[in-house]
Amino acid sequence: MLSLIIFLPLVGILLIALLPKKFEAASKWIALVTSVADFGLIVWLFTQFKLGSGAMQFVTKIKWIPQLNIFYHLGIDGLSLPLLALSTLLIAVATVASWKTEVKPRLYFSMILLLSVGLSGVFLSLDLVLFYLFWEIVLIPMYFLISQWGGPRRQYAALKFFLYTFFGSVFMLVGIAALFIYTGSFDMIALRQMTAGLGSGAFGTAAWWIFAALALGFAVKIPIWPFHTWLPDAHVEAPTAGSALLAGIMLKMGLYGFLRIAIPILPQAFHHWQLIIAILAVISIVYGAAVAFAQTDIKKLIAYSSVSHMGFAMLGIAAGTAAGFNGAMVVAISHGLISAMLFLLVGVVYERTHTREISKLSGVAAAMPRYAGLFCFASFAAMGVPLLSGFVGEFLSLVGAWGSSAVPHILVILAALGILLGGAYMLWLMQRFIFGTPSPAVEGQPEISVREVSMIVPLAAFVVAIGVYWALLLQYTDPIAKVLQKLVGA
Amino acid sequence: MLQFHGVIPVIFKGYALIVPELLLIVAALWSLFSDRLPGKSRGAAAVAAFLVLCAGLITAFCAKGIALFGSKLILTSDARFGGVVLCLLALVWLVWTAAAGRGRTAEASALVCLSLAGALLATQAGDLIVLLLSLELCSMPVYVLIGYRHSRAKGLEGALKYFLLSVLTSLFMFYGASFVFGLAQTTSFGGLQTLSGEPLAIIAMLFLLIGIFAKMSVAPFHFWAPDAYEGAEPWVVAFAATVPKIAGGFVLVRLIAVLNAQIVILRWPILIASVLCMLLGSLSALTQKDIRRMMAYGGVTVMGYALLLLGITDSQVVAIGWYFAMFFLATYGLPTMGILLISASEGGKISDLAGLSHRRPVAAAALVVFALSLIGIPPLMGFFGKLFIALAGIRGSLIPGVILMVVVSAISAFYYLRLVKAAFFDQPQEAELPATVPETALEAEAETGNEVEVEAATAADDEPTRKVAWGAELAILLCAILTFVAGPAAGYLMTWMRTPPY
Repeated sequence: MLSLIIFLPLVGILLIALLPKKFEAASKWIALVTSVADFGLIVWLFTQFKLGSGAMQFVTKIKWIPQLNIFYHLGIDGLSLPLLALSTLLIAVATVASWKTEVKPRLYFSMILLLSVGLSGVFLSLDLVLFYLFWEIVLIPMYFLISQWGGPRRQYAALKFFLYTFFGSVFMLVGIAALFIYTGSFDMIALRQMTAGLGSGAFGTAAWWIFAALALGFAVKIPIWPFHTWLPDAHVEAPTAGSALLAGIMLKMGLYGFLRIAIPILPQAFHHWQLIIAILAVISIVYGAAVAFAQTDIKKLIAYSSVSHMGFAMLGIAAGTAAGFNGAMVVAISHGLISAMLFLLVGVVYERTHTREISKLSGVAAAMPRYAGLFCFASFAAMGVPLLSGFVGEFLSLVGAWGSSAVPHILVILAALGILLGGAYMLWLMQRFIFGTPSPAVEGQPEISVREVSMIVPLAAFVVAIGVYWALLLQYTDPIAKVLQKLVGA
Repeated sequence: MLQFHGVIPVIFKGYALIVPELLLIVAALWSLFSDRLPGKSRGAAAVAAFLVLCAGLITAFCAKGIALFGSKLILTSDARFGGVVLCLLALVWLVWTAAAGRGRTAEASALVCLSLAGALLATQAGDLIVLLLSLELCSMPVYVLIGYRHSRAKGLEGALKYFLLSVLTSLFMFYGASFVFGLAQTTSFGGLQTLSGEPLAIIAMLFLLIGIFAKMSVAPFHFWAPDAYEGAEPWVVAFAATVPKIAGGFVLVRLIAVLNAQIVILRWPILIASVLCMLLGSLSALTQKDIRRMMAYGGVTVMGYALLLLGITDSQVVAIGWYFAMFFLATYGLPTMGILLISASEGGKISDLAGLSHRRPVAAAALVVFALSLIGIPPLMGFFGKLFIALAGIRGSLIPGVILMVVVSAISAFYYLRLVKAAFFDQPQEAELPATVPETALEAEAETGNEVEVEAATAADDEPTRKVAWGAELAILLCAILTFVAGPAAGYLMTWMRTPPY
């Protein structure tokens, strides 16, 4: 069942590959049908999923490389299910967003589908080698998406993206290998007991650096300051759908890594790193927000705001409390929805005006009132206005961090200031971009089309639903957060 | 003592061991006399390809542990694995050559068959003298291949460099071997295991090591490789950079396996060479503009990864290290050969690959597979090679070495991705053809043997879109599919290799 979710897009890729050049325009239809079908499978999975348990469900376990105890091992729980849903939803939305791709559509849509394979695989794998495999597969389509369909500095951005994240993930590989040396297993769930059984003697120091190696891989992906420098370049140069997927779901792979692998398997080592992670998280929050103020390119502004928002998630993780873990998971989902919305909306204007310079764009509200409404909605969601999902996650993260003995209160206060900064730069952006007298670039542009609205609406609906009815998401994440809290022993 | 429970040994008894080599000699002779035989030049390459396939299959289905001529040759499970890998590489190369044809094809295929025979004997050797002689047989035909275009000064320079260095290193090896014989009173591997760690033995082993290092282009004895490769044709480099090198690697593992238990101190020169390989190789590869030079430095780096595992001394891990090193060497061959065969029809410079995705979409897709495998991206086989190195390295307490390896892998991503970038995103420069193509045309015209070649080459002269024979694309595709499939099938390969339990 879970294998079908992962490999269904491969069928789409195969069909696209068999498509003759004459009918290459049909590739987008194949991609859409495949990705919607994949999302349909997830919806079905939701109906079958048993709530209230922190255990793995729908487990598949097949021997793969028996000499090294490597298994083809899949499973799903309340942590991975929402992320999986987000990723398949965003893939379908990204397909709609790329509807007008004219250059090499076959390669483009195969890459989107390949991305889907990698992302689903990352969230479903329970074997570390399998996890690493999918983790790296994600790099390849993104590299192609940026370097073929990106902006003017796409080659540079694509290479930087690839090298940075690859550099991080090879350390993760060393960490994974070291875990295997000590325990003889790659099983993410079984490792929890195994490392606990090893005690804190010789393994204690090893655990310290293994955690660091794993965390480096995840931190680059999230990214936390100071590993964030690839992100603005990649986000700005990527095509609209690429940016939405990068911010929407790929950054969450890092958070997922912390929550699934680094923390539960090495809770002792986590205590040593807790404070450092918290400090880096707060720096990310404040630095991301401060730098966002100075940006003249809307995409770059949103990119830096991602650094800031991911900081909240990391702060929640660093807290080590159930509230903090819940907060991190909610931020992961809500930021995925909101940042994808923002990037898609920026893409809408860019498609019409071919610029993203804030100074050249103003008074969008006059020319495109419906668009302006949607953009304001997304901005308010990003600011963390109550009743929208952005608020839930950041609130829980801060509450969790405040209640944690490991995080000094001053850090939490600084982080809360970050929310204020976040509100300020988004409002300032709205004031310049949406309101005021229409600039020449904006004047007379057509209103947002039905297709473009259709890709925003599902995302916006979830943002409202989660914001109003928190339990919608928390009923999935809370059992996991409790399990994690117990493991960490806070 | 002998085990006869394979399929092939039922027919050939113990002689099954040398049947593959005999087939290769037949192939070489067929190629040399191809003017008198049906099929002519490229037919000879096709026949050679078929015989190499047979040789590979026979090796694959031999029971392990057959020994011949008083254990002068032994088919251990790793020799069998090595033999199959080497035959596979040569097979791809011969299929490509038979399809593409590059002038004097028959001679090249004869040389390749002889070299392969030497490589197979070297992996099966159970005696120092047999080993050294087979290595000579393996590398001598390559001198000729490197200087194959005798009309070009650069090719001759490279060939001369390679020849002189290779002769020098052979002398080193034989000199070292003479001391070993003096100390152990025997040259058989069984006898060498009694060798103790006295200073003279260490010096003798160092000489042997230096010789093999230079043949494998291990740093700091690697300087000949980039120059020699750059002077040679890419399709020749495709062979020279894979088969003799990988055979050298297998031999080295074999020697270390025989001696390491006694002479633990040898780990230090090996580890130093490994670190130098990784650093010098990867840093030099960064700035290269020529694919052949880049692959030469890339190969130096790769040897560094493999050597890391030979520096393990922990008796519980040491055997795993050897097997994983061999597995890794095997993963390196196919992608390297694939990249060089693609560049053989495009030109030696990285910029010559520009626009490849328009001209040859299949080859461009294959290029991505090769580059990603060399970088070590899953699920390609290069990834599993590196994973195994990390596993054995950390368990053998070589954590700094493993960290260096992963950092160097990240650096290698930079230069291998340049190939992908050129193939997919760069625009080809108008009216500028690689220097090799017109030359091929001239030479092919000069020899009247091959009409198709002339046609292909002159067509290439007229228009920028070079036609590539479908057989050549097939060989490259085969390479790519194997690179793809061998990774996930690593478990089966390990069972077949009889890797000791981890």
